[in-house]
Amino acid sequence: MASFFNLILDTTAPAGVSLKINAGAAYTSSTTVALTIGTSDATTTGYQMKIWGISIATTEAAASWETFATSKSVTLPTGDGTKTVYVKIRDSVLNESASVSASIILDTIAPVVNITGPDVSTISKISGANTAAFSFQVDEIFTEYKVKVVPNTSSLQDAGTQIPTTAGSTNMSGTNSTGFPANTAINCTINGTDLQSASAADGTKIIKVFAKDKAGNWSVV
Amino acid sequence: MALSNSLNYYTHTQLKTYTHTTLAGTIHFSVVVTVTGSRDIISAKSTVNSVDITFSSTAAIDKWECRATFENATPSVGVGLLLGSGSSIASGVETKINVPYSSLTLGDGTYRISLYVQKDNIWYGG
Repeated sequence: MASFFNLILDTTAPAGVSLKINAGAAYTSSTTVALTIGTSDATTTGYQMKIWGISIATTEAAASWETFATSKSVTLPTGDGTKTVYVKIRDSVLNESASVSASIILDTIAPVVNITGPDVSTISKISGANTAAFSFQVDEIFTEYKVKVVPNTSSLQDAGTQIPTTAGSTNMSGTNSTGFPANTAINCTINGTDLQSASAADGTKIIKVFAKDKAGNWSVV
Repeated sequence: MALSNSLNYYTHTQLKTYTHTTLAGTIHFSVVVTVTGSRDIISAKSTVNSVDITFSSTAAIDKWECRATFENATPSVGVGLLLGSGSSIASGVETKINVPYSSLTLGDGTYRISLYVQKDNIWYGG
């Protein structure tokens, strides 16, 4: 007990409020995303936050105040497209920041690859009969592709063996961070020696092209 | 014992002695003023926009003043924003005043809320 005490008057809202979804990624293939929430206030004791634009609270009116945290996993509303998440922060004496938002494109649909060819059905390692040509195109922008010998037609992108280019095969894989164009043919050639390296025995080989879109979805068919 | 306890709080509690001479001799008194606040931080927002200040004195007092000094200002009797004042209060009686945020007119920051009491024309506390 004393004949005085200190009293703080604080009428200032939390400053420098920031929000990122999946560390600022442009795309996500999952409705579950990680939010990073920040404020330039030095201490956040007693602070609360309100988040909306998510599955459990699509509007601010539906959102509730909860203890402030710098990271939080949330679920986006279903349905592909641009998703915008909002956050507000208030301090221990209810001074409330303006809302800030961040957006991300939800894309849960895998790209579809269409192959044209090959120009021959049988190849060997003998010059003049050792290459097969085909082309493929993808129905959306994609950032990576690979051509693989797989065990069966339903194999996924992590199965089988990628065909090397050591003996002269072309375009057996590729990456492009800005994206290969959609619906544009990429021409490929498979050399018999490279095919044998990927799958040694003579016989029918199942060759699939897999493409990955900007959200990280790998093609299935 | 009471004096000993008060001395333990000396750095936080205003403890002063005064003397009163009677026919029987000299009697030593002390006045201990205690003040507490219901909050240590307030804002302009409803439900947290005021503070209840409660104080009492170990001796009957003739006057009291509650003042606020801002940040590094030196507190003293008559210095600072006057938040409340009054007249005589009996010893040990708790008095409560409510101070709205709008009384703190010097802006955001830390205010020292001090309670001063007067007895026999001498000010104590703060």
